[in-house]
Amino acid sequence: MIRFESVSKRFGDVLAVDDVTLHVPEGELVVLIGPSGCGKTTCLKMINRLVEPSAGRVLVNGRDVAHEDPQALRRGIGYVIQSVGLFPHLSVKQNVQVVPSLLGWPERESARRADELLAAVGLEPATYRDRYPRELSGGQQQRVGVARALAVDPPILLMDEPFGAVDPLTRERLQDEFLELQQRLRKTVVLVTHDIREAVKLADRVCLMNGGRIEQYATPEELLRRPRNRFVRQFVGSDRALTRLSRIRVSAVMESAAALDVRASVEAAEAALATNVSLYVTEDGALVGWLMLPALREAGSVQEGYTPLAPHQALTPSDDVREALSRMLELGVANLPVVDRSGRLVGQLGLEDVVTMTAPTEDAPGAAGGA
Amino acid sequence: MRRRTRAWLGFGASLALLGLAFLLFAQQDAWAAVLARLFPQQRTVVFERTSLLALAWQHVAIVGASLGLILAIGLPLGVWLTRASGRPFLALVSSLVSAGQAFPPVAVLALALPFFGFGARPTLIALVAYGLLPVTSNTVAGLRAVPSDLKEAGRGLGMGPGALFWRVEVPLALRTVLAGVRVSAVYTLGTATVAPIIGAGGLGVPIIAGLAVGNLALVLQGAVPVALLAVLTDLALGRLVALAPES
Repeated sequence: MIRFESVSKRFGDVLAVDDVTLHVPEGELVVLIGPSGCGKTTCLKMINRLVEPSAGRVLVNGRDVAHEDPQALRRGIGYVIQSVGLFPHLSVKQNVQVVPSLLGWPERESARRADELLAAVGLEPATYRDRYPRELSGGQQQRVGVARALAVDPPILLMDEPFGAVDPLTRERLQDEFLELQQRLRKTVVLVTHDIREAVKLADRVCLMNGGRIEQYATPEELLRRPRNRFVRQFVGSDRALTRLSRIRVSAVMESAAALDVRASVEAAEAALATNVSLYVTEDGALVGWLMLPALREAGSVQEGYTPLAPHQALTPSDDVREALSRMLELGVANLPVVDRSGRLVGQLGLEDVVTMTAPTEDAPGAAGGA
Repeated sequence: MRRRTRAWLGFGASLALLGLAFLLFAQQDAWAAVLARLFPQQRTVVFERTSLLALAWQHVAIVGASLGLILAIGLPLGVWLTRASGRPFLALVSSLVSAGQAFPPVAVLALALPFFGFGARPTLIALVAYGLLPVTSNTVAGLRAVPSDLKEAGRGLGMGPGALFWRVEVPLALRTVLAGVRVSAVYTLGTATVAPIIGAGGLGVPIIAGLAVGNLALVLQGAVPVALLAVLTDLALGRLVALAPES
């Protein structure tokens, strides 16, 4: 879909991009990442000709962008930048309508499209369409930015640090929502960030750059598991095993949990506890607590013997394993129940499962970064 | 938006006040009566050859023509100075325009006289030279203050130079540009009172005549309406500035 062929860019004496060859496959989300000044943003801007390469070619759909009309090219490529990119003198609706109006869409059609997109990014159109950017929070502005980029349904989306200007909590939510949207839309996305966790969370492939060159271009798993050199290892961080866990959902590794209904008899409970150290206790399928043998004996009934469990202590299938692990450490337990949205027990996650899943990384413990 | 409604109402009200001012200028006898009460020892208290209303209209015509020329020159000049082709001339033109304002209008009139003779033409030249600075410099300042991130966002969304200019740069610079127009308009209203020196009319006529014969009543007959017009124009344009989008 997008192809860089030996692309270089020189700004005066500085070689910002040095002989980059890169292929972004259709429908994939590729993250360009690296320290400041590594050339990632320059690469992004060469795709829509905001920057012209000094050497080499950039191809979009097999066609050299240098031969395309820049305005027409850009109208066909969604562009999202940090929240500063919204026009302060235009309402939310007018911001979303910028590209449709450049393309001469009839007002009614572009207004309908704007409403549709605002709803898609989680902003109630009736409430937000007539507001101005300064009346929105950072997260809301960012949503409008995404809606604006999607206005004419371009097959390609370029995103320059799209979640950079918001607080960490909002950022995570926006990332989750964007992933959901992307799973539906399957755009070809090139996203620039300097946050490795964001890259690992969002990317189908990560292109790690340094000094204008590509250090490694691989899937996040590959990048974390087999860093190609010292720079990559340092950049992904010594906690890269944990970073890898952030890509894995609890639903992918949880196992079935032994459970007992709260109305079960003492005999049935004793029998079940003969094979399990502890049991989760449910009421009509919903998790209410957990039970161990000594407590059962002391209380004389399941009803009175179980230890209640607060709902926030349970995991949900969509949590990532990194979060789950952190929760276990925080609570000092080696097992956590997993419940669905309605509170029904659907499984459990054990520390052992997590450890066995994180197969050893390429460089064995003791090597740099393995600590 | 309530703020906009208020600004529109304010603008409408100040226009209405300007209209009322002209009704007031039409009351020649009332002016004479009031001035006669204030200066009982003066035999002539109002300029008699031309009515106050006619003088006011002349004044507005001179100012309107000058302001039209100022905008016709200053706005494109300011825009050009912020384009790639004009940027090298920014420093040069800025100092030329400042020099125009540093020159006293009376001196410009005196200098223009041998070339253009008496009448409206040298007056316009002096007023335009004097009023060009605020419009040009504010146009430059307003356009330069448009964040480059926003311009790049516009380009990235596929705006050509024209679309970028009209849809992004102009709306965001408008407030500053209008502020310059406002200053220019008020300057020109006041400065136009020197026009009668070289035979152009306007509210300066009774002022100059009054000064020549030491008749304060005549001076006031010209000065009070000029001040009134200046204040009301400032008010109206101030409301117009408030209507421009905030950047």
